[in-house]
Amino acid sequence: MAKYIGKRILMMIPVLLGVILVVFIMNHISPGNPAELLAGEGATDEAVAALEEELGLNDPLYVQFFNYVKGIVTGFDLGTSYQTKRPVIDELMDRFPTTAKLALLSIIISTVVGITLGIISAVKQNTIIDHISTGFALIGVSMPAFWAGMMLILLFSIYLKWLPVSGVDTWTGWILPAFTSSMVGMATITRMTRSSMLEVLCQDYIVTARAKGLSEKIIIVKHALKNALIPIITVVGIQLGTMLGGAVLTESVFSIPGLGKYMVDSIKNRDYPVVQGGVLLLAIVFSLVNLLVDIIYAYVDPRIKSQYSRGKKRAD
Amino acid sequence: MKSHLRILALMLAMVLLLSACGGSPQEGDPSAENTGDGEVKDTLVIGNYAEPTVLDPPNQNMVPAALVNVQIYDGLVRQDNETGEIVPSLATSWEYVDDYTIRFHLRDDVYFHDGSKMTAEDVKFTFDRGATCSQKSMIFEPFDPAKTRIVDEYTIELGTKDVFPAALSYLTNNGTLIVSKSAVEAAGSDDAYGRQPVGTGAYKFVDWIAGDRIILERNEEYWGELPEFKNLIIRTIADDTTRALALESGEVDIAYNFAPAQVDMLKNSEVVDVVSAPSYTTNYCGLNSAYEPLSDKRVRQALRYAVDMDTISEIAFASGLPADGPVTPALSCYVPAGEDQQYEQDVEKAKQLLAEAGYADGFDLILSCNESQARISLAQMLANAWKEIGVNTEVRSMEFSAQLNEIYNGESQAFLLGFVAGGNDGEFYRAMFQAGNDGADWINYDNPEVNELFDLASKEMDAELRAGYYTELQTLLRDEMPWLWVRFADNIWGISKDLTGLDLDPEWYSEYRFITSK
Repeated sequence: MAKYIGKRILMMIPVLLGVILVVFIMNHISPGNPAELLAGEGATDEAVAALEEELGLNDPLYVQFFNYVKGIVTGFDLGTSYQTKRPVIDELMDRFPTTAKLALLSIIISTVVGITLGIISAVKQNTIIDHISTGFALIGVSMPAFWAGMMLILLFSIYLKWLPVSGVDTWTGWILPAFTSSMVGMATITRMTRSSMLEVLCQDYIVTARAKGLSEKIIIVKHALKNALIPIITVVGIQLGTMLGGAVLTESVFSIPGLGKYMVDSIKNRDYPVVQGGVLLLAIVFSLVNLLVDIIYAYVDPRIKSQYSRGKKRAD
Repeated sequence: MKSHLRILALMLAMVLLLSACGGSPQEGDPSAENTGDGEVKDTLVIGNYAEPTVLDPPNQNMVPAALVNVQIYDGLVRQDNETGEIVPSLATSWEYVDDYTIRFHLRDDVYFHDGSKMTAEDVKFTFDRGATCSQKSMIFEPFDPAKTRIVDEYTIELGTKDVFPAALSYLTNNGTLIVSKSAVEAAGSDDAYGRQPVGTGAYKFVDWIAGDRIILERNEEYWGELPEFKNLIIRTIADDTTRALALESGEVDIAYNFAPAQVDMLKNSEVVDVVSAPSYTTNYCGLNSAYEPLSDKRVRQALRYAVDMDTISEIAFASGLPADGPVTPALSCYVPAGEDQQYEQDVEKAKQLLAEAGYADGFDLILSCNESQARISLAQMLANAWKEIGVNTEVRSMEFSAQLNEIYNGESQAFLLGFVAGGNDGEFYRAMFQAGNDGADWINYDNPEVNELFDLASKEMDAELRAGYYTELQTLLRDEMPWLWVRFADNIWGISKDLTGLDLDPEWYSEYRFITSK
């Protein structure tokens, strides 16, 4: 198992290098000039030229790329933000904890609610409860966060005055954003749990379990859910990875100082080092979450674990 | 079962780890202390629409940063927004030694927030340093560091490279706010200083929570009248609607720069007053002479005659005044357009002008704008109106950086943009219309008469003669129409009904030290 994990971590290196290269190229081929944006509307040509020199934008591209990679490899130096002149790593680390907290709160809410609703609608398939929960799931995926967030603010902050409009200074400030950003995940997990459970519930071993006279509760939780978990874990993993990259809309609506909003602003400002560093961080987080998901697979399904220890990757 | 426990433990550990490193981002935030009922409100919270870059006056060029700077720093002089006059600040008085030199007498009772005394040395340092900073180079460019002379500890002479009557207006620009020499040197680099600013202002810097807020507190040693509020918190709330709702809910006391929809919402509020004041901003449509049809004055005038600009700009921007020229009425050199330069909508006249210019069948035009809803709707309305006279307009809404790039390279045929004068002086328009300057290059505009008038006005020390040149310029530009002026913008603030004393700055740089409870 340890060997497997080690191998997976090593495999991340080419992926990350690829990410750096692609983002670097995309940054430089997209129209727009960071110096022009920094100099402001109506800046003189001299001011822009001086800033270009200052930011090192006049070096040939391969030199810029080489310097960037060298910085990362030799001292995990992601460069300095063009906008704020602070080290990119500081900028990202100021915001990542907030994003991580929001992502974790949301994933907990969406997993708990999603799996519960999914199980209920699978077990009560085609009943009114099933329709309600699938309907709820449909609304959850279809409602854009900026709209849902705004409606929640209007109801709970302006009308009822229970919760703050924006900011996360107090724990009450987390409630609306966590709920808003959990909605899509909640809906996806509900649907995935439902279909995966339905598939498992008609397997022979469930019939056997029923024939043995086991209680319905044990059959559902121990026999059915455990076997239905693999695709659910995959979905949860993807959701978590996405949320750790920052929930842009939720962060904007609730004015939360997280990574998502910051990345979008940096793209708009053509703050290349921040965009590169941010995507790199995102790629690392995504790879680690994927690895974590694969490790959890092994604990859920012993067959997968034995594959890992034989040094083979899963067939799917 | 054992494996379940391990997964559970793993997840729990993750939660703990993340919540530990998350912490509370607002630790030490004074606003948290006085939210209870019955307590005296001692904190003023401002809603800023974007995160400042750095809090270093000459190294930024954005409203959200400068707005914080004017709370922390003072300049030599400032503009009184009620009278429009330039009044003393760190300088108590000044006189022209000759046409090139102004002597400033400084206050001798001013201390920086780091405890050091403000002297002529700091002023010299500010101007020497400013001359090397690119983002405010336009403001420092007319001043000649070689001519700066410290007369004594509290007297300094600033020299200009040429005769420069606009010098005092330039000194009201936030780029020239006085920084502490010792603090900049102690910080080690400009980059580090920009995160730990030291000024002489009524509020001093306490903390900056990235992406969230900047915390300032009253400078008890302030040389002027102390502000009523002990703490000043400037929060970044980028979303327009959220900023308006935060104001409505009382989380924020003052916010600014709203989209028309939010202004309507706030006007109906029971807890918020909406205040507006004329700004230095002109919304315009630039017409690039490099594109053959637009090089003909008659075509440009035709485009103006084809539209009912007052109505469509009102629909698009919902505030401000119809523009009758490039210069806004908030500037003292403004003169209203004469009877013969009103450009009422007249489609027949527009068609006739086009025909005279040889474009009776019209032509194709690309009009670019950024993603602002107001500008997009304006562009669409312009395109519709121009269709009537045979000008087939394609509206291209693009990301701001891409649009700027195109404009700066002189590649846009027609574009919607806003121009903000850097202060109360006609000189700020020079870069836009005098050939060889950037703004004029974007539209490839070169008119010898305009060029000469800007040169004359720039160096004329006689105020009356100078005003005459600007009057002539405005008449000429109204006829030449290198831009279609769209609308003069108003600055709109929302302020809690419990507060008063908002300093209505035409560039948004209100000094919040003047705010008091009602």
